This record gives sequence, C-alpha cells and structure tokens, in this order.
Amino acid sequence: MSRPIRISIRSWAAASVVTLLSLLASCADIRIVSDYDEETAKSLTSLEQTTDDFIVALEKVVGTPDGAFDKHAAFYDGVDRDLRRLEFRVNAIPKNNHTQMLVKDIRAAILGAGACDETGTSLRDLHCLPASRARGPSKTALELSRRNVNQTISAALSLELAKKQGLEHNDQ
Amino acid sequence: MPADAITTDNLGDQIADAAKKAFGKQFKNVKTFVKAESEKLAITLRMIIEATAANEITEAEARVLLNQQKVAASAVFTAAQGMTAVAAQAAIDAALGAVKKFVNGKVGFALL
Repeated sequence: MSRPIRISIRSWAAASVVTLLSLLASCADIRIVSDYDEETAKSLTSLEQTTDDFIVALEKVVGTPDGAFDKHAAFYDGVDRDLRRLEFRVNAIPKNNHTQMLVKDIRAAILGAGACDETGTSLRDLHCLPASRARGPSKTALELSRRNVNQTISAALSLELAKKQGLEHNDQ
Repeated sequence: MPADAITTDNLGDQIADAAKKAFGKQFKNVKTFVKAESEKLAITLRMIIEATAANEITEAEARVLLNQQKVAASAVFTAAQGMTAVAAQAAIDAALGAVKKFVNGKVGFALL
C-alpha cells in the first residue's frame, strides 16, 4: 500500500526540482543593483579631493577680500560641470537608482539650488549668504561644511566599493 | 562543501546556505557602516550646536549647515539601503553559483 505513495512523493520531488531549476534559470539574469562602475568611483574620488582642497585653501583666505564668493565662482562652475558629467553617467547605468540619488545629494551638499539664504543646503549657499559674500564664511562654518560634504561623497563612494566587494565575494 | 556532495535532496539547503553566508557578511558591513556614519553625524551636529552657542558661526550659517547635514544623513541612509541591495544581489549570485555545476551537469548544458 505504501509503494504508490512513495512514487507519488518521488514524482512530486522531481517536479519540484525541475520547477526550482527553471526558477533559478529565470533568475540567472536578474539584477537588482548595478555592477561596480570604476569611472563613477574615480569621479567621486576626484570630486572629494577637489572639494576638500578648495575648502582647505578657502579657510586660509576667509575674512579677507580674497575669500569673496565672486573670486571663487570658477570652482563652483567646475564642480557643476563635473557633476553634470557624473549625472549623465550614473543615469545611463540601469538599476543604479541608489547611486543616482547619492549624486543628487552631492549636488545638494556642494552647490544646492543657489538660494544664498538660510534655506540653502550647500557649501555654495554658505559662501553666497549676504553676510559672507564679500569675505567668505567663517572658518568654523567651512570646517563643518567640509565634514558634511566629505560624508556625503564618502557615502556614495562606500556604496560603489560595496558593489565591487560584492562582486569579488561572488568570484571566490 | 564540494560540488559532488550536492544532491537533488539537499539542493535547497545548499542554495539557502550559500545565500545566508553571502547575505550575512554583507549585512555585517552595512551595520558597521551605519554605526560609524551615525556617530560622525552626531559629532558634526554637536559641533554645530557648540559653534552656534559660542557665536563662532552666525544663525544663517547654522541653518545652512543643519540643512546640509540633513543631506549628509540622507546620503548615509541611501548608501546603506543600496548596500542591502548589494547584499541581496550577492545572495542571489552565491545561491546560483553554489549549485551551478550540479545543475548544469544534471541537465547536460549550461542552464545557469
């Protein structure tokens, strides 16, 4: 009496394995997050270095006419150009929405929307506040902004490196 | 476990074990990242409060810096969210990788 039941269980097991294999095969091409992108990582590293160097240099001249916002417009224009290039790249990569959001955050932290008032979110907003425009922000404000900017860019870089480590882990 | 130790009976366990190992390692990294970055956020917030109290920064500067810190916090948690997606991807890849040789051998062609 038990034999037909055992055959049935075996048939069910075999069918389950076939279903599982089909499912696995269909999952083989599924990607829920983009691969590591070396160009993105390089751009983020370069942006972090450029911005950090700028803030350190600005700290030395704030409080003098050399700290004026207009004298440093080229830096903000350069960052805007670099960020637009990075935005084009990250937006072109499929399943890259977290990195896309992080690049938006970087833009918000360095350039903002150009509010130049206390609703601003960025280093540039800090620099073009009416009270800071002629001689730059205070050194302490710059140091705090530097921490915020570095943390924002580092977060994006950490995600790119996590993607790289994830790939390396799977290659083992 | 060597590939020849995988059978149709323990296939599910092999997939689950591989996924668990990959996911566990990545999750540990996310936890470490969030903890370290949260501490940085707290230090910066404390510095903003102290600098405001000591009149080292103006009220307008303090407001911009606080807004900027909200952006940094958003970035930290977006990155952490992305890392969990990376962990899930690693788990999927590891699970498939663990049974690839066995499955392809059984069907006689490169199914996975």
